[in-house]
Amino acid sequence: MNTSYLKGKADGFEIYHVRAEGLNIEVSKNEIDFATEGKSEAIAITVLKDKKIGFAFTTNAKRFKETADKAISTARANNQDKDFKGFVKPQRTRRIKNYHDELLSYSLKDFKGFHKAFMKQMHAADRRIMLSNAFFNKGSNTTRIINSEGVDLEETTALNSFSYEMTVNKNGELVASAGSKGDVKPIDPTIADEAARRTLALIGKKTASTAELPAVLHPEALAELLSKTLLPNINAENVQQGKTLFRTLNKKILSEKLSITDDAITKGMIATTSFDCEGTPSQRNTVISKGVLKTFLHNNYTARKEGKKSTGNAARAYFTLPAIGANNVIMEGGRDKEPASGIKKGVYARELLGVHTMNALTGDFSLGLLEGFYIEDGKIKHPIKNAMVAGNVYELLNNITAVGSETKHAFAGHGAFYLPEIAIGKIRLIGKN
Amino acid sequence: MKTSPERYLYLHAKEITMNYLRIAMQKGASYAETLSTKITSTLIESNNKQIKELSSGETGIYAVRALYRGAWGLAYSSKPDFKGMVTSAIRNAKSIRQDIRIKYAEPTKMLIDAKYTDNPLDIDIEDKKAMLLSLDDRRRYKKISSLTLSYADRTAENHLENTEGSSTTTSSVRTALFSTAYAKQGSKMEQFTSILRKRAGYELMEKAQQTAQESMKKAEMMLSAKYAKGGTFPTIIDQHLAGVFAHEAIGHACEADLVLAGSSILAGKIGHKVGRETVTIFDDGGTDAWGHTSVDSEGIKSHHTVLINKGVLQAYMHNRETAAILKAEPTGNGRSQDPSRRVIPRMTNTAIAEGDSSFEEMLAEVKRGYYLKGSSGGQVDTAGGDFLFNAREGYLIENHKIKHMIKGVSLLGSILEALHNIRLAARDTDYDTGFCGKADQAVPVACGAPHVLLDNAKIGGAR
Repeated sequence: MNTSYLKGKADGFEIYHVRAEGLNIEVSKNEIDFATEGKSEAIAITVLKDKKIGFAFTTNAKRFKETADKAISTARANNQDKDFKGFVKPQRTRRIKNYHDELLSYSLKDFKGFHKAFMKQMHAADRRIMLSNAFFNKGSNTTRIINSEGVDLEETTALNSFSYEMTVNKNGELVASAGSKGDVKPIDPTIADEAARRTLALIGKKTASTAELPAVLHPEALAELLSKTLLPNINAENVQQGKTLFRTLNKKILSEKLSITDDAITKGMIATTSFDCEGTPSQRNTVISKGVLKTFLHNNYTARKEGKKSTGNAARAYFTLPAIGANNVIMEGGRDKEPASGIKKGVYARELLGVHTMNALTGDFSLGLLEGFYIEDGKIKHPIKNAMVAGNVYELLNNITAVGSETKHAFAGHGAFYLPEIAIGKIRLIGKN
Repeated sequence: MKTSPERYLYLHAKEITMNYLRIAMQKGASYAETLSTKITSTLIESNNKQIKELSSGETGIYAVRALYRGAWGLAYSSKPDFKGMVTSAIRNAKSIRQDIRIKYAEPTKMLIDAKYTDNPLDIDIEDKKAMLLSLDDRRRYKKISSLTLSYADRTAENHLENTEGSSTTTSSVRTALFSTAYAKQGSKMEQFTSILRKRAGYELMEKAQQTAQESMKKAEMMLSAKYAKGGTFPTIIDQHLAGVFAHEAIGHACEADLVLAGSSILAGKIGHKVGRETVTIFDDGGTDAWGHTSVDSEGIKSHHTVLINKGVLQAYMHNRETAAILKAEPTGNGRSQDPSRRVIPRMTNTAIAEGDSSFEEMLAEVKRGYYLKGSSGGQVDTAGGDFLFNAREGYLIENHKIKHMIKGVSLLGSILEALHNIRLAARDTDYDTGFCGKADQAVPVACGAPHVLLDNAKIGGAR
């Protein structure tokens, strides 16, 4: 890559160069039946010319010059952007190596070992359970960011993930449960035990009556709701464009029992890196403290438009300009060992159906209860079938009755949620009339 | 678009990958394919008359898929290194013990050109920008606090060659406009997204102004919409929502891979009655709609597959592999998101056949219920049998008349009951455009239907 080619032509530039390697393996009806591997490379070029921004990308690294020219020609076609205050300046960056080395060499042979152990654990719980389908992915990315301010950073990240669906047919009742796990070290096959128990727990589904009831949200259900509603509402770009419910900081938006941080520096968590997609060093941001909104999530553009510093939340794919995305989203654990314990009659929501259809702006939802249970006297009684839950996410999160003491990783949404179980005062359950 | 001599030459030059297919056969593959996809795309996004993104790009993906001693291996790259990919694909297949057979097909030689009047690649990006900015006209809608407009065009060329001697090249041009309006009144805020997209060229943008205006109108209407009451009601659903109903309620459970994996409630139910006699549902890649697939991702021509014939389950949708296992013919439903991904049975254009009713007749049947329009997506649990889909807008029906707008409306159904619930179907088919997600792969699909009256729809009001 000849970056000096851009120096005379543009007033400023940023190059995002990513090389990726992937291994994908699939399992169908208990057996490994498909494997693929591959490599890809992409270059994205952002230029500034006469206060206008231009952008172009290619997956053909040999076409650097043509792509740079394309970026300049799109800049010429653009309007001036007075809100753009320049590319990221070099800053001291603390290096965090987040992945385990064995992940880089992880092969189909290693997966076979994982698969064998996983199946053994799953069948130890019940011989009749079938791993109907599963997907394993291992990916590593080497990202380099170079800009006209002098930033030149390179980092390799690696992750493996496993998502699966188990089915069991017992006394004519077919039930399925799906789950997923991601990690920066090879995934531990002992996850099969909990997954199998989770599947078995769905046998014996009963209909429920329509009612307003207290509820407990499992970290996975909570992650889906937060991902779809809270995150876009605290995205600074959305705020600046007038597309959010929240406009001002230091206001109470959630129950005082809830505190949330956005963290890109804790080792071992999925979204941890040394710097974000523009080269801003990673940090930890208090987003919500005891229910009070403390910051919006910023990238370089949105932060400097307001004269602030980026919160290190630039997120992008090679085919778009840097947008804003959350890093590890961590909700502080509470004092309640069993959030369901105080509930006489209620619903336990483990997984919801159709989360992508909910209203991202207002937080209104009416969703299927994919994996839900009836709670009686603080204990899970039986699984529920053909039911919906409805409400408003912000009303729910302002009506918290208990916060679990244990925080679990939920590989939902963008994959990096670390959340406790929470109990809420009221949700609407729509069952049989 | 006519095929020029240059394009024939180009196609001929492409057949050079035949050499790599021969190498794959020499290494012991019983079937192999070379695949390439090249995409040129433009994206322009504005918010409140300010350009947020103006981009232009090119993406290339190349792959080799080989069946070796009953196991699939696939290798991909952003570089056309077919020789290296043949080696990796076979290496992957060698490590897997399987006894996969596939259904073979007659060699296909096909050249499908994209359908458009005005090639988006010929339009200056500055003109596209000016067009997009001109759409932000709020004179009629004073409560709009924010408007985001996105224009996108995408020209793709897919090339496949296989050891059966097939060589197909299909080009497509897709153009889209998204308009998301935010309306504000006091502390109340609502949003509405209108989408205009088609397998078409820049001429589609003649309707862009209408789409942008619609999003603003609907966002303002949402401000005074009321919440629906949860429960079971007779409900009229429009073409787009009824299309998604067919897609979620029946389509997914008819995908042969799910049937074989034991995760479809419709497994073993061919020949069984699963709905009223008035209900017929089909999938057809040849229909001129968003999911158009003249040839699928493994070289099989599109088919008209009747899934439900007069209430009786008739067929599943196949790729080459599931067709061989279930002793059926491939149905042209073997699709992948791009060459780097596995080919699995996917829907193309799925539709409910027309009945002999009309919207007015349906309205006459409903004393108290809902009229729901447009889809914002759905999801199904094919094993458990529940499916959920969400309407973009809804209206209360009272005494056979359409009343005020309602919001936040989802419907929950169950696969085995859904088709017994269809009481009437009209004669006014229309197809919606969408992307269907399965196994982490998104492919363009269309869902079509006439207006449909459901007897007992389980509605979830948001409060």
